[in-house]
Amino acid sequence: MDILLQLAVESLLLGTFYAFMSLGFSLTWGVLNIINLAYGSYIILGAYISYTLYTYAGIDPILSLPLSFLIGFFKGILVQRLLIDRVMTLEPFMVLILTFGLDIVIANALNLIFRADIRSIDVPYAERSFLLGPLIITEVKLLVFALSLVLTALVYILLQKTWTGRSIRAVALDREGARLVGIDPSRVFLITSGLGTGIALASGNLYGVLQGFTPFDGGMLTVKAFLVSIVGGLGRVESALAGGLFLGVLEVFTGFYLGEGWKFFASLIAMFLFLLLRPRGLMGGKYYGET
Amino acid sequence: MSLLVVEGVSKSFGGNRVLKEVSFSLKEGEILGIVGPNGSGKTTLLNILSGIVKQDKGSVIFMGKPVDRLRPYARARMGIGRTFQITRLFTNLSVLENVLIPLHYGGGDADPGRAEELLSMVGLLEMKDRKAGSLSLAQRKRLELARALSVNPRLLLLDEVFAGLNPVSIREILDLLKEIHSLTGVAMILVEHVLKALFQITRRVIVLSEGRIIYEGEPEGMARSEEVIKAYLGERYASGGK
Repeated sequence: MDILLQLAVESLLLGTFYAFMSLGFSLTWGVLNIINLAYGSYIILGAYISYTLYTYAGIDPILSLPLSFLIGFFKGILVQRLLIDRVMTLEPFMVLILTFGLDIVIANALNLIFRADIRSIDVPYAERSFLLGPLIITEVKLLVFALSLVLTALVYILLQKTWTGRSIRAVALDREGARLVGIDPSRVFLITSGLGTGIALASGNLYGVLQGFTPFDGGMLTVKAFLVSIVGGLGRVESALAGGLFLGVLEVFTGFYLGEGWKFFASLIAMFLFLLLRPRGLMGGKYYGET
Repeated sequence: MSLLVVEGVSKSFGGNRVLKEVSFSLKEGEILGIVGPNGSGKTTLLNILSGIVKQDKGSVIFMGKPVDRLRPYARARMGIGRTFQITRLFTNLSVLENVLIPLHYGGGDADPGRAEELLSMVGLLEMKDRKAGSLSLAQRKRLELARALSVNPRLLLLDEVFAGLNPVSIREILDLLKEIHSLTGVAMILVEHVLKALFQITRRVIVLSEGRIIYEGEPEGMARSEEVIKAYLGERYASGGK
């Protein structure tokens, strides 16, 4: 029983991180209607930025998180304006090919700079843990959980309570209708793209303290973000939380009962089954407006 | 000075010429009905006026300025409000938010008091916290009217606002349009199939057929026009039903 409780808590901690990590991917898909295959590499880029700042300047990854977000925000705006805007009205495959190319460029650039060795951000609190009744709680996981929860809540407030958020939701629901009430969708696309990429890079800081990484881990993370998005549904914070928790439970239980090597395989199987049997996701909304 | 001038507007989709040299004008506060058989180009014309579709030829002048290069959001900010045959509300947002958003982005001042005033005008104030997607069709049409009004329009484009409604709801929407017109003086262009309702609010109609204007004038004159009879009923009814 204690083991099940421990696994449940581990699932909650990891699942909340996955929810935050995937939020940018889900938001970009839900609002811009594009699947960003470079998303995982954006996360890894964030991890390398925080690694560099920690290794060479001693800045804790938690403290450099806002910087990663800002770098990601402006990077997202630039990529949207210079590249994606040019192809997003064409065939959907064009965006897939473009972002796939971006993924390769980022991964290989990181490989050139850092080599393919596994890097990790060894913060002093990485190995510390404490007992809570029968549970063993690792401090770094608790910290990542708390930060993911707070940041997810901030995104939720941004989407629900601000004019920027309302315009993002309006464009997600009906792009044409939004245009006719005075909203400029291309501006909303820029902001959403910036926000999505900012979230990716910021979550890279958290990913980097949770586990080791290499330049080529992006593909696996894109698959995870994809799974979270199709399980929960697109573009909504609540959906990302549902999808993130699902992935957390899946990975923790598969890892414990079948072994670490099965975790990613289980994610792929789950993604396949969801696409086959329940493409509208757990919460019933394939697209933002269809809840 | 005319509020709106449409000059020689033509539009083709592929090889299909949907509008051919359409020209007309509209005065401040005037209500114009546009009718015609299915596929005659009515909705395309509204789409061109609101900026969703760009014409191949001709120009649209609104308040004395050409708006051909302006995108839909810029035209909305200039004062062109629009509703759709199949309502295009933000279904997952609240009724109040559906009005607040255009007030903020189109009208420039997202005053909740003004939003509630508009909702009160269309009879939806009590439902302001409900999701727009939960409203009935007639209520959705009312909300879309409130939303169109919240960009402080000088011109309202109403695409089949009576479509799908029962006679009671048609009467209510008709009364609402009359009230809006008398309160705000906004000019309206109604694309409509429910002629009985349309003729109670407008004294001027344009009939489109195969993308051309075949009649322009008072509603009563329509029934006497050979071209209109031909467009609606076919060639053999056009000359006395022989």
